Amino acid sequence: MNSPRLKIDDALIISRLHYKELLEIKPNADLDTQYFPLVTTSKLEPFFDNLPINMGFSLSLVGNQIISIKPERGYLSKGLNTLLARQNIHEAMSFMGLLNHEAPLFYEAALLLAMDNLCEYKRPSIVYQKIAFSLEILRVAHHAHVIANVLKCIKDFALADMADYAHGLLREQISHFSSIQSLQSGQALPAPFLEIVDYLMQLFFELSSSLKNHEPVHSRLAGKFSISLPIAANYGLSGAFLRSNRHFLDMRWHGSMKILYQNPPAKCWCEGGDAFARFTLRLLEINASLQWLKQQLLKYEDLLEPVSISLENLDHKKPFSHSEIEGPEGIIKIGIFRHHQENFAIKLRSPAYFIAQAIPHMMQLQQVFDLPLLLFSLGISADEIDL
Amino acid sequence: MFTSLKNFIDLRLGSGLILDELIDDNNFYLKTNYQHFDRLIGFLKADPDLRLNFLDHIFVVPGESPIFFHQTSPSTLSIVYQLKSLKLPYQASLVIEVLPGQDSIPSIAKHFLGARWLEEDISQEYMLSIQDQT
Repeated sequence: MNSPRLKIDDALIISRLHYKELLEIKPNADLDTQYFPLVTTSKLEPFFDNLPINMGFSLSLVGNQIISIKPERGYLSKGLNTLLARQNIHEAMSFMGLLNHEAPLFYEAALLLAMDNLCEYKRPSIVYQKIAFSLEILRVAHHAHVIANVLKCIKDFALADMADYAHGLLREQISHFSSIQSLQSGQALPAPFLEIVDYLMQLFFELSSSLKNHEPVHSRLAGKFSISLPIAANYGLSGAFLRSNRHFLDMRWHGSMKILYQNPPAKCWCEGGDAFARFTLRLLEINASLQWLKQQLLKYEDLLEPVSISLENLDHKKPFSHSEIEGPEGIIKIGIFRHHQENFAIKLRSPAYFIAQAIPHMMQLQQVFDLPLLLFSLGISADEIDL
Repeated sequence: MFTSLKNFIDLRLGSGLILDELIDDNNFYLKTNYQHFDRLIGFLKADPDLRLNFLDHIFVVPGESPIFFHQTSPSTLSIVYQLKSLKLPYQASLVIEVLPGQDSIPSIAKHFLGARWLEEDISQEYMLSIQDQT
């Protein structure tokens, strides 16, 4: 009887995985340094770029099977909370870009709403409408990018190009919607936005049709990286992790978010709790968001006009407040607590932090060559975990 | 929905476990002490009428807690454990105070897997050890 090939690589540390190297990890390849490079100059980062964040994993393997995986967080951890504790709220707003510098609006909007709540201040409804409108554009761009990365991992470059093209198209517009500062600028959009939305709807319809019975996507994602509803709740996972288990928790439909979403995009959910369900959910959410964006554009003509969002001269009337935003990967939450006159403690909940913690659960007993696919399919940013 | 979570807990577990309550919209802030903390967390998660089984956040508010105005002890930190219901639109936060000289805080990792990193971060930042509950 042949003895099983027992190759336990004790704590093989992949530090700072890079996009290119992740894609080069090939299915069915023998695990060696040729396909599993130890990269020292890059980072794990599927969506945002340019921040030198150190994030890695310690793996214990039997052959290609992952026996245990431990995320190694870098040394910037806890930094943002410490940083925010020393700032006033206005200064804190400028630090939100550290978490997501391509689309800081998700975090900025959460902080703005928490601050408005703290001051019991209500802005003109067009301000909230424009924020919600911008968040949906950023959500579509995020999902398109994650879908492109997953398809590249599966080596379907034709469909990946299609998703990349959609992301690129939105990327040209993103700077007009990505932050509170950009919402206030009067810069003209490069193309009529309604036409872009129409074109994107058509593009994603074709992409969804092509992916409907797409065998490689199904075989690589279905039944993998599963997480059930009770376990997801136990880990504090929200967003697609709950909605892919037929549970509907979407802050856009929550009463407290009525100020932003008077009429939110259609509800989306599916079942399975695996990577395939979460991937399908992204396509459904893109469609719902695009439909909603079109409705809003037709209904409110001034949505593309600049708005004024002042943070000055607000009286803090409450001792503390919270706000929750439905980010593309789950609930983004900010709490503001006042202590000692004008000092504030700002507490931030990033969905990526909780998702990263659950990676060992999802990856246990999976094949090591599926690790990049999982990481890309999660769509999380190391910045959000580590700051 | 509940008008007071404290009253509900008093009825189910007996009075004295919740020292103070503050209600803000659909958020119930419940102040408790170390002695009852683990029992309360387990109850909030498992009780079929409460079902607070979603770990929302754990964080520290430095200085005198702004959550409860009637402070009875000179606390230096307040630790807030926020739980959410997946069934009903409400959440509850258990608040415990870290008193001067105290060097450990209780862990809820046996109830919530996602608590581990948050507790480790608090432990490192505030030099407090984590006390695993048995």
